Amino acid sequence: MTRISRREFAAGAAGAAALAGFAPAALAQGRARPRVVVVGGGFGGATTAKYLRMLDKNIQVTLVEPSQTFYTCPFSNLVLGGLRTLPSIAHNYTAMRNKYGVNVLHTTATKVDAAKKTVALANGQTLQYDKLVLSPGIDFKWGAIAGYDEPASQLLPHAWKAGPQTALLRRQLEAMRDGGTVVIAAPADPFRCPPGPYERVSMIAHYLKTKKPKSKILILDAKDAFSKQGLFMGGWKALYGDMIEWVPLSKDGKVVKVDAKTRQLECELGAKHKGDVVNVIPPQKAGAIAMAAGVAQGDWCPINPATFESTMRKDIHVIGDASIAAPMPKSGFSASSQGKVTAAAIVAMLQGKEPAAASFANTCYSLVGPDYGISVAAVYKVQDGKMIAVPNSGGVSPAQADPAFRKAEARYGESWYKANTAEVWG
Amino acid sequence: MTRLILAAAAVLASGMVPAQAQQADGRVLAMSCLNCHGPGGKSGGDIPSIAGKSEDFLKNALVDFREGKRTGNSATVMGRLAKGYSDDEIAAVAKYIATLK
Ligand SMILES: Cc1cc2nc3c(=O)[nH]c(=O)nc-3n(C[C@H](O)[C@H](O)[C@H](O)COP(=O)(O)OP(=O)(O)OC[C@H]3O[C@@H](n4cnc5c(N)ncnc54)[C@H](O)[C@@H]3O)c2cc1C
Ligand code: HEC
Repeated sequence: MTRISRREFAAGAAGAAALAGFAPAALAQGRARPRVVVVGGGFGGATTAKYLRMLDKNIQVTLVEPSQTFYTCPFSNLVLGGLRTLPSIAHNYTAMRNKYGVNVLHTTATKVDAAKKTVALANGQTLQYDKLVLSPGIDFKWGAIAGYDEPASQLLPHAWKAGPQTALLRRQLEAMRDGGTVVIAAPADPFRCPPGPYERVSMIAHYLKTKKPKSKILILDAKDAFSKQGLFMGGWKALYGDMIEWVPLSKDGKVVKVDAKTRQLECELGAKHKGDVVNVIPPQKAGAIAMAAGVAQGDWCPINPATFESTMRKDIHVIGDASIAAPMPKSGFSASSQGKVTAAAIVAMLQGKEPAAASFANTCYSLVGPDYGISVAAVYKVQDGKMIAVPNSGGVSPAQADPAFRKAEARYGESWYKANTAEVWG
Repeated sequence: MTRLILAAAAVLASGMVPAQAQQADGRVLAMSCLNCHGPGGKSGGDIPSIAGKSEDFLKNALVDFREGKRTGNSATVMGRLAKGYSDDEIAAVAKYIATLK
């Protein structure tokens, strides 16, 4: 054990300049079996772990994820709307273990030593790695909105990580009187799932329209424009009349303070609002382990988009919401697409080969109503070391489309969910 | 071949590292298709499966999507996506997907 780490330390220190980002020669010549540790069993991490094993059975992959059950944020808005149940968006790690031979440890990574190439776990274990992949998702910037801390989220749920928070918000909606007001505070860019708050508004509107039609929804927004805005607003008008009011930043929409007990919100220029149900989506940053590993610059992690290797620490790759991959949005599809490219790049690097040209895609389907789907799509590649959307590709669903088109996209969204979650956990 | 040499020359002229002059890799290109078309290209939902199709069928379909020959309700999203791929990339991805049974 000591001998291995000393040798790796020496190789790392002496070879750093010469290796130009590729694996130590010892690995290229087939020294035992390379070890990859993946932190986070969500969209990015679980995809990477599985694809590493699919692409190269010689690699030993350990996946570190505290939860036995993963509830997807995708389709959690449908749970709020009453179109899905929480168990229907739950996934587990059985296939990861049994089908792909990934060593899954249900614990939390607490520390990374980039020089020794070790990860410390909350269960007391320390793992040695040749390559480390971090896909920890997001953490919230508690206190960025005055009065909104973790205890406050038990009264005013964020529901921006799915599971108990989704269930809590759903219970509050069910308990609300007809004629009540639901207030949703949406954050400024960048944040997890740009169309997410507006799909949520749509699904809550669907629930209210069917069960509590006198109710209203107020969106207090920290920005002046949002993803698929024209399509959402057109859909809202068609399906929900004037149930929904959107207050942009320029109309004093940015919430700066909340009082959790009275459910009162205060905006930047002084406007005050009160809701019967209040959903606060707070500002976000990369998951804490990214900060602990020294791979974050400010709130997010800079990477080389060809391999998603950190530009700050060699042999640590950061993918998904935690990474700076713009123009790719922070989505589950993006995270999974990045995980696949990262797995292929790591396999090549461990064999001392050059990674193949990277290619990514993303599509975010949103449901405006049960039979009313819309989407935004794009293809991405790396040019001059930068992530770009391929010019003239992608875009949003047409502004004018017949009901059959919207219905087809609603069904394709469902089909996407099935395919994408099978690609990640199946 | 001439095309490859020209591409390499362009890359060198623009001062980029030659690492960027990589060939289209069908498997890497296909990986993101499976997020919609399902593991191994088998969908199990309303999005059509792409496993078990011939290389020609796949190539023609992608070109038709890209050139707007499939439109309206039979091209809800593929037109937007296919515009993101060059001829070489379409050829490479079709060749790889045709191996999925
Ligand atoms: C309401 C809503 C709707 C959405 N809808 C869509 C959609 O329709 N389509 C779409 O593509 N995207 C959607 N998203 C976005 C999507 O959920 C995220 O972009 C995606 O989850 C990001 O993947 P990730 O791997 O970066 O993080 P996650 O999927 O969040 O996974 C991170 C994992 O890391 C684990 N972790 C964190 N720290 C540690 C640690 N120290 N040690 C071990 N494990 C750790 C966590 O437990 C978690 O399981 C939606 C998001 C929301 C909130
Ligand atoms: C966002 C989801 C999505 C992604 C990503 C996607 N597809 Fe599709 N694909 C569809 C849908 C939906 C259709 C049906 C046509 C339509 O509405 O656009 C389709 C149709 C097709 C068809 C025609 C099948 C037939 O039987 O007529 C082919 C071929 C195809 N896709 C190939 C691909 C390839 C190759 C990729 C990756 C480069 C890809 N698709 C990526 C959703 C997707």
